[in-house]
Amino acid sequence: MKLASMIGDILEGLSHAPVTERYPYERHDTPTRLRGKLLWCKDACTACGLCAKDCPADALAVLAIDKKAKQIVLRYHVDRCTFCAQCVTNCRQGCLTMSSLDWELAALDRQTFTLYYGDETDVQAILAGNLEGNVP
Amino acid sequence: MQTLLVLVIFPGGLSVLALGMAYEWFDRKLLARLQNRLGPRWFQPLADTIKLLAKEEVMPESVNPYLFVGLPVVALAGAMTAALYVPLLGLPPAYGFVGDLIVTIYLLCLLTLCMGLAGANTLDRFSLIGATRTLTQLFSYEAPFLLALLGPALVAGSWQIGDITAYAEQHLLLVTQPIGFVVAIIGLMGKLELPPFDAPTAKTEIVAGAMTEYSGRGLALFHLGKGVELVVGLTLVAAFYLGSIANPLDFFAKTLGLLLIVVGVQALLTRLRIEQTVGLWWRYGALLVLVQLLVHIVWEVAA
Amino acid sequence: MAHQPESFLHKIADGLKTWARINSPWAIHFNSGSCNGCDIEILATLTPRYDLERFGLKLQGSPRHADVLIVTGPVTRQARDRLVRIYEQMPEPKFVVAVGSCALSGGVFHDCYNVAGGIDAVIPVNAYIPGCPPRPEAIIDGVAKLLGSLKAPAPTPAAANEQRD
Repeated sequence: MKLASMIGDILEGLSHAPVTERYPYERHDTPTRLRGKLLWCKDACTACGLCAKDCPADALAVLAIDKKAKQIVLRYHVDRCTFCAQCVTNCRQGCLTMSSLDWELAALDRQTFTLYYGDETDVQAILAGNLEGNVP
Repeated sequence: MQTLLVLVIFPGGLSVLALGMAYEWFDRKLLARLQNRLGPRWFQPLADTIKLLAKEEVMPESVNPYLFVGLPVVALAGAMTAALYVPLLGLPPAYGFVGDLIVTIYLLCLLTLCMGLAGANTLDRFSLIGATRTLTQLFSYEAPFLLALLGPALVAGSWQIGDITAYAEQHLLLVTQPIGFVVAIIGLMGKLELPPFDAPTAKTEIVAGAMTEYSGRGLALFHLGKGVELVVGLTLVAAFYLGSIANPLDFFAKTLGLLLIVVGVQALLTRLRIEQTVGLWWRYGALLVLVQLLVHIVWEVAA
Repeated sequence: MAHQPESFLHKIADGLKTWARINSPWAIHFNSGSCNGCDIEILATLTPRYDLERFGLKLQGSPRHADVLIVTGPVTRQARDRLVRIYEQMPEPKFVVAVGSCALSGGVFHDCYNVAGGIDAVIPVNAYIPGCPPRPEAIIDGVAKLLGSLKAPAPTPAAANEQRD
């Protein structure tokens, strides 16, 4: 049996430590271009909506109360996001990035996956029903 | 009172179950290290058993309920009774008598027979194929394995395990009957359904073989039975071929050495198809062991 | 006063059962129409580099032997009945882990006609792991969060409005 000639490889496994990365107890550095959760910086946003239009999974929605006054809220569905970074590529102002540190996104219920980015007052206004702009 | 203590606590009963779990852990851990990975923690078989005992038992509609509940119990009881006749931990067998070699081998077969019957009990097609494969494999390795254990019995001139181990203490049968040793080790792997002979419980082919419909308590008892069978089988082969077992340290050294060989072969070879298994056993296994017996007979006659 | 010794024994038995269930989660994997990306990552988690067996997780063949059902894929029309059947065949206590963005909400297929839109439209889910596909470490993180939640049976209130900058 040709397989039996691999006995040297098998026994070599005993001669060094296992290659397992003991994940929750030791964390290794992630690659810098890892596409984790989406981060949004409101300062440069003009609420053009290109990111929402381009998302293949309809994970983004731009809800603008007042564009000139920069009262913009971005609704982000983490559970629909494919982490493809099309929104990042297409944003003309460069206000979207994908975090390479925040990728441990598992949760025990789905409510935590709908995120609203923006100022607190704007978010409360949106949630209270004062919707304008791209509505899903 | 002393009988009760021997049967329930030590060296029968609970300590045989604990030894079975320890050997199962050693088997999994060594296999993991040979495959370059960490492997389970030391309490893993204990946690598995407790979890299975605490799970809901689902009984399929069309089974015979007495067989369904009783077969795992009989299997575990058979394996634990076999442990009474072998020199566990280097102590002389608790209840030896003339002919107990045959009884021990029969009791170890009882476990496999019960698993085969349990698979044939339900209407599930996977269980039925698993049961067929289990019984076919039982049919194929049993004769060469028995003959391989018969070799030492022939030279010792007795059917009692105690006498055979006393003879093995003086003559190292590993050297005088090497072919028998090889057949015995491989026969043990066939009996325990370890890879490469694990066609009866081939996960990717027949879901889980004969034990597909079992969950909870039944599965826990079969699981424990397999662990006990591992210990008893290793003790038998070590006691016969590696020189008898003198004390607990000797016991652990010899049986764990044999387990090392078993795990090495397990990590190395892939699964054989059931007809390749039967072909291997009935062609090479039986032939080799008959050659060994022939050599012994010719030597006895010539001397 | 007569209740005291009984409940102490029950407490020990419950503690032992919980300990055993946390330390020995046997899993079965089901693909309900996914592209296999998440399946490949799940299998990668079982390889020596990330080794789920050190948590006691073994991949079983039969649903009757498993505690945890790991599902990937948006539930397509053909897979829906089979998924429900496998879920019902598992004995209690059982947990479901949904892996990948298709399994959580349908992902890019969330408004297709032949897709049920996420696993929790069909069977109750206990842990969600987003990603397309999630890294093996993210899968281990999700399984660890599920096992950690078994220790504290009280559910945490869901935060419907969480802000991060």
